[in-house]
Amino acid sequence: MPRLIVSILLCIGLLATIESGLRTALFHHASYSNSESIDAQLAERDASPHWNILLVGDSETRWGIHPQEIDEAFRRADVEAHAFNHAFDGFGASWWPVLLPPLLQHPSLEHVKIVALGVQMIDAHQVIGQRAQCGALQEPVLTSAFGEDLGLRALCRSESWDTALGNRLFSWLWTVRYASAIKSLLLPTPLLPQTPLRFNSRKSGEPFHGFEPHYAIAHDRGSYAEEFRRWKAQYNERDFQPLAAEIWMSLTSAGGFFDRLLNTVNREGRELVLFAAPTNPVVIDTFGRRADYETNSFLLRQWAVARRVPFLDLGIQDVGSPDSYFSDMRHLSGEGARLFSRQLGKALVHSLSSPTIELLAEANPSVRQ
Amino acid sequence: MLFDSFVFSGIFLPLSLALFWLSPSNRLKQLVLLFTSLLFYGYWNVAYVPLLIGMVFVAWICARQAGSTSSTWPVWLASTCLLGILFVFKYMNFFGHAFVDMRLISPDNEPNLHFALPLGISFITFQSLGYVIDVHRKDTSAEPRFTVVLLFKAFYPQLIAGPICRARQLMPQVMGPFRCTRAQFLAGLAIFTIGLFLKFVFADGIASHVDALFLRPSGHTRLESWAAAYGFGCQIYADFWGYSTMAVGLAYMYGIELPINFHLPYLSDSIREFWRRWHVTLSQWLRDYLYKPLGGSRRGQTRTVCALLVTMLLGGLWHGANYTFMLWGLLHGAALSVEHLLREIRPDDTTAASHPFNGLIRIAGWCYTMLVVCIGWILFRATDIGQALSITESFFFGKDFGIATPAVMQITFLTMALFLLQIPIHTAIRVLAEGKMSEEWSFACAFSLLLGTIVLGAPQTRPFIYFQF
Repeated sequence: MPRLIVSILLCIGLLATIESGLRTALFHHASYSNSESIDAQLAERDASPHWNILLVGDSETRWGIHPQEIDEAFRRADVEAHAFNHAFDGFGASWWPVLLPPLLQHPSLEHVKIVALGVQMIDAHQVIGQRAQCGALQEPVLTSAFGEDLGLRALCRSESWDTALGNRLFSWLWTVRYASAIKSLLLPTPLLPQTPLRFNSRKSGEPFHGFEPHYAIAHDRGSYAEEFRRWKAQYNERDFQPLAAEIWMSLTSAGGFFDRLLNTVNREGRELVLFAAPTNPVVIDTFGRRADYETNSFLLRQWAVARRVPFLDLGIQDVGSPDSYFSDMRHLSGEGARLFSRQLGKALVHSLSSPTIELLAEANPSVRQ
Repeated sequence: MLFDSFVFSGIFLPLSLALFWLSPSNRLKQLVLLFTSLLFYGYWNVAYVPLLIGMVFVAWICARQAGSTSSTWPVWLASTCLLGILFVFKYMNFFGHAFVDMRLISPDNEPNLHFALPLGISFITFQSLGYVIDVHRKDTSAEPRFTVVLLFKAFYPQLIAGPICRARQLMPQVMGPFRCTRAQFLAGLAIFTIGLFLKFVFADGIASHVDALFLRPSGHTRLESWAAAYGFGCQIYADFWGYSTMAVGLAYMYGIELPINFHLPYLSDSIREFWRRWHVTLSQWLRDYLYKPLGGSRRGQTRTVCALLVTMLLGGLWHGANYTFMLWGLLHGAALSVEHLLREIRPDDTTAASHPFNGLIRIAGWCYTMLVVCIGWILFRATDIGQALSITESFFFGKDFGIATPAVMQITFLTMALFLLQIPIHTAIRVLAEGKMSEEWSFACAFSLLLGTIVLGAPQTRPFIYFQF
């Protein structure tokens, strides 16, 4: 019996040592979000917890909104703002009603007063339920340690009640909670069930407050043509059709997607701002959705006016020099992002009511008005 | 309830073990074990608990009659009832469809029964029928108490997917007295975690990649066909070996010994040896209750070959109502027949250890065995004959060799890892089962394997493959 007790104590000691080691160094060596890009973004976010404007959306927002230009626009209006680009590649508007509540609980986002969501005007959106259609860009992130901490793993993985109970009971153990991250340390990458996301997009500089600048089309026109061909080939002919009219009618109706989004943000004590995500008109025209854009913009504006929510639509970006303004058939280049964000910043400042501006000031005691 | 679910290992197992060992009398322990076993079965679908009890009741009645008469009618009665139930639930639709295909009946008359296949019905049928035959053969005596016979069949570690225990082996143990030392309990726990490790890390780890390959009806590269065949071979081995090991470990914790069902089958150098090492209790059942009564090897070559083919064909059909399973059985039957005929014409000394080419012969035998077994697994796993033929064709003649995709690499890695680890794992199970490991090492083994399972296990579990049989 004494030897068994020694054995039990040794095992507990081993577990305690492993736990201590994991808590000290796990995420220095393993990816937290299964995406190098998001890891860097989260590290930047947590480095300075003074953000009071949060920019969210998908890659159009991530590549296209430069927080520095937003901050500058507010500074010109004598308001000190600290915007952070928290958009994730692949996470369109549909995902944010479920992502925002746990995300806004993070200590580094406690001063956030405005949540600005980039809405893709030519796509359909939907309310994500208990189980979501997780794609190749969403699943690695939502099933990572980051997804676990947000409590969103179940969106991509079905869990029976007993598995959920087991996970909850033992989630205080990092060995259990972050098992997949530990596995990624022990096994070489090709043998992992969930390969970490690595984008080979043409980044043109260091990230800035979550924003990632990218080279313009002009930088390598040959690659763009090839990429456009491959992008188009992944769609079927039926995708290049206008959207059904009732989709956006439903999204903007009472109790529809945008109402739910607004309720979610308001429940968290934040103000919602919507803006039309900047997209290369090539995509809009290839899909044959220029008319859809106008109709949807009208519907969303009506909805926004009725709910007193700022909606900033800078229109389709039919710029004179698309090859320097855009990075590919969808996203803005670093230069384009600067120009667009400057305009968006101005529009944002003008759209906000005085109480909201005061809220921003309250959010950060150092803010001067 | 699945052994690898939290409701089982986190709630049911600790509670049922506590209730069992805290029960003051032997009779009460039996009743607790019976109640928890029926609860275990009923958790899946309570409606089928009466079916289980009914099938065992038929076996109990028939066995009592078989014990008091030398006539074979109780065996025939039990066979008719039990196989009839199995036929209705498992084979009625299949044969109806086959008869329509053969134009023996019109499509309007095709039976189309819609109910879930009772869990483990094939195992329940075989074990119950085996009991009646054993009593008839005087291998065991008829048990007068129904609850004991019910517990013999319903004892939950072996209820759904075996090992298929014989009455003389298990029945005296479920009658008690139940004894279990701390060392035996911890050895059982360690054996159980070895099974969990096999299931979570290997079987579930490889399942999604293998499923993805078999979901495609055709168009596999040669590399993908190999990965599909060997990958499924690895998956089913880890899955069923894991389940059987868990069953042995669980029974140990109740002070009951179950037979070990796997003895390194992938090291066999002939199909005959493969079946002596793979799902041992099923092989023995088929040998004793089917192959031998059909004539066995004592009534001439032709009779032996026929007996082998029929036994393996029915063994294949036992696994599932599909042509693919029948072909799988026939493939093994044919290989066994060829080996039997070769043994008759080959001088005995070629297999002797002193033979100069013994090593080479064994390696060639192993390669042939692996090839037959893996081609068999394609048939076993394929959704239909067309897909099986397509994958088998690209296995041998695929023009496109293909590239090592991440899925193919994962399958290769896990298959090789299991192949290398099978000997230490098998040795550990044997050492634990024979009580040769001290209790502190058993605990440490269970603890470290549990940690390993948590960290290295697949993110999502799959049902055991043999549950469908």
